[in-house]
Amino acid sequence: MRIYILYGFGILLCVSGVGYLAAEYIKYLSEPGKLACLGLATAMFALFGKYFDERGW
Amino acid sequence: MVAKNRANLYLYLALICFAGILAIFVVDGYLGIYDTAYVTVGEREQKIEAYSWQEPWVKEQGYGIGTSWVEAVFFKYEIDNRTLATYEADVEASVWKSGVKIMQLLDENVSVPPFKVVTLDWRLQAEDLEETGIVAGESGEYTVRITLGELERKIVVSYYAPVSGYPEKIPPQSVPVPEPVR
Repeated sequence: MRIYILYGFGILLCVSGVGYLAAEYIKYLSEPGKLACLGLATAMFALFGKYFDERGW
Repeated sequence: MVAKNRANLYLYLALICFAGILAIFVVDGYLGIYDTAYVTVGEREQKIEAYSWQEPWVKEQGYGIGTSWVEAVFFKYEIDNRTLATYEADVEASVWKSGVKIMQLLDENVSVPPFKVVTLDWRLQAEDLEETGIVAGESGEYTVRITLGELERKIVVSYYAPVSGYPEKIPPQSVPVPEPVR
């Protein structure tokens, strides 16, 4: 149980770190760049969803 | 087997999307020409970041700073070339009032090597403005326009008239001090 809490904590830190870096970097992006990133992020989450769906999670 | 391959295909496509996001961050976000201005009035330095110029109100109205006539305004303009080629451009800084150019502060051709930073300095002081016929001491706004190639940046310098301080201290009238009662 404790190991899962540690995993959860680690994942949370990773996600928040990536989120922070993305928020910092996005300031320097042009409008088309932001739009492309949004599209790619949406596609990425959709494909991850499909992947886990196919794996039966 | 087919289902597993399809699942892996989704995973690879998702990873390609992630790589695409990172590529956009690097190419669109990091690479390019970045200009940062530092404006110092008195002891305070204000940094105008490269992305600040894109803010709608800065784009339309210019970045505002306030100063008094006795303080010179020091400008430091950094051009950061984050491209693989040498960047060459004309840099011009001038003072404008009501759409009329009043004076030139800087006119230089800069050449910035790849992944290097070049800094330009100039200053704006009341004496220089007075030479153009402006009466110092009155409140007024002046626009410092910085052009870098085809880019134009605006910094609005607001001069404020000296505020009268507290009234002069009136010396107390001397009155005889009564003797203490015993």
